[in-house]
Amino acid sequence: MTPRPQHEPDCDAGLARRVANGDEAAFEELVGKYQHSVLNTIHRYVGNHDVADDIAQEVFVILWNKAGTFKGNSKFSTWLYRIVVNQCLQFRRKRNQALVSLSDLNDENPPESLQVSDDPERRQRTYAVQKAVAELPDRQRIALVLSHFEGRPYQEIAEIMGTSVSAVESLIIRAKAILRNKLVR
Amino acid sequence: MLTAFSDGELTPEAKEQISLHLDACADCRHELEELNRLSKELDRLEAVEVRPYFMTRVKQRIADRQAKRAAVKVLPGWVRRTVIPVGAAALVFLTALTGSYLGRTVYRWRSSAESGSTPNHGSAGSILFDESSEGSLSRFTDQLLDGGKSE
Repeated sequence: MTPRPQHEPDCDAGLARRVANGDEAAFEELVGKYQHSVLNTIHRYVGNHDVADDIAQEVFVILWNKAGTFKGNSKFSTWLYRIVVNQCLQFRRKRNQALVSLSDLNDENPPESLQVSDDPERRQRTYAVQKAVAELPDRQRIALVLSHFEGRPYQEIAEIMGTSVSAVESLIIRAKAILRNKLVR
Repeated sequence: MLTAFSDGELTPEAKEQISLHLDACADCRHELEELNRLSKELDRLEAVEVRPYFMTRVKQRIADRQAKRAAVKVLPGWVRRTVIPVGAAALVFLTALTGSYLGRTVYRWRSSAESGSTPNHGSAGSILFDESSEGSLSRFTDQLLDGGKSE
């Protein structure tokens, strides 16, 4: 599992309140702090860097415009990731297409965007993993990305997705069962 | 339970119970091995880097949205609520009226050309409006424009 990112929610809540009052420095601090994890969460969901970059920008535009609606009832990161998840699902509804960008996945060869290695075997393997993740049902994929790649605990994922902890656990179990069949066995 | 175990989601007590069970159960040990292998497979998906000028682009997008909103807000409320909808409706009506008038005119040219009464004024019109017919909107346009004299 990738190392869990370290966030300081109390400090973030203070920054969010300053953003609500139009403080650009606080906004820059929050963007700087979360841009990498937000971008990668979206990228692992949509499988395309251009689309992920666009959605990530939109997430931070919403942060700027809606920071006043953050009441501090949850951690700031939970609130922010709710926006991330909503934007990802909205993208899916709008485009109604499968991910990694989708037409590319029908091909046997990895698209340029996935050619992360010069080693063809490693590249193919990475592509197979990307494809398998992209083919997971939406909610399973979101739960898996938040858990495995972002290291978020089930409790927080449940708050982000607006569901129960047992439902999150069930989503992750089903996602991993599908992936094990495709990638490990 | 093994998924939660491998994700580090269990309490220390539950973790200990699972560990004890794993010592005695080969099937569960195998399953846990598979989960660990899957975890390594997933780690192949490396993180992407944030592109340069990300912050600048976000700020530009915010500025663009604010400019758009400001442009709309320049108009007084009653203009936004009445003049814009009425103007849009009038535009749609006039477009339909003009289209209908032009369509009927071209149709007449084509009919005249076919009957040989006048030279063919527009072959393009003949082609474009080959399937045209005189509908109720055309008649309405005529009535509106020439008081129905053409009927």
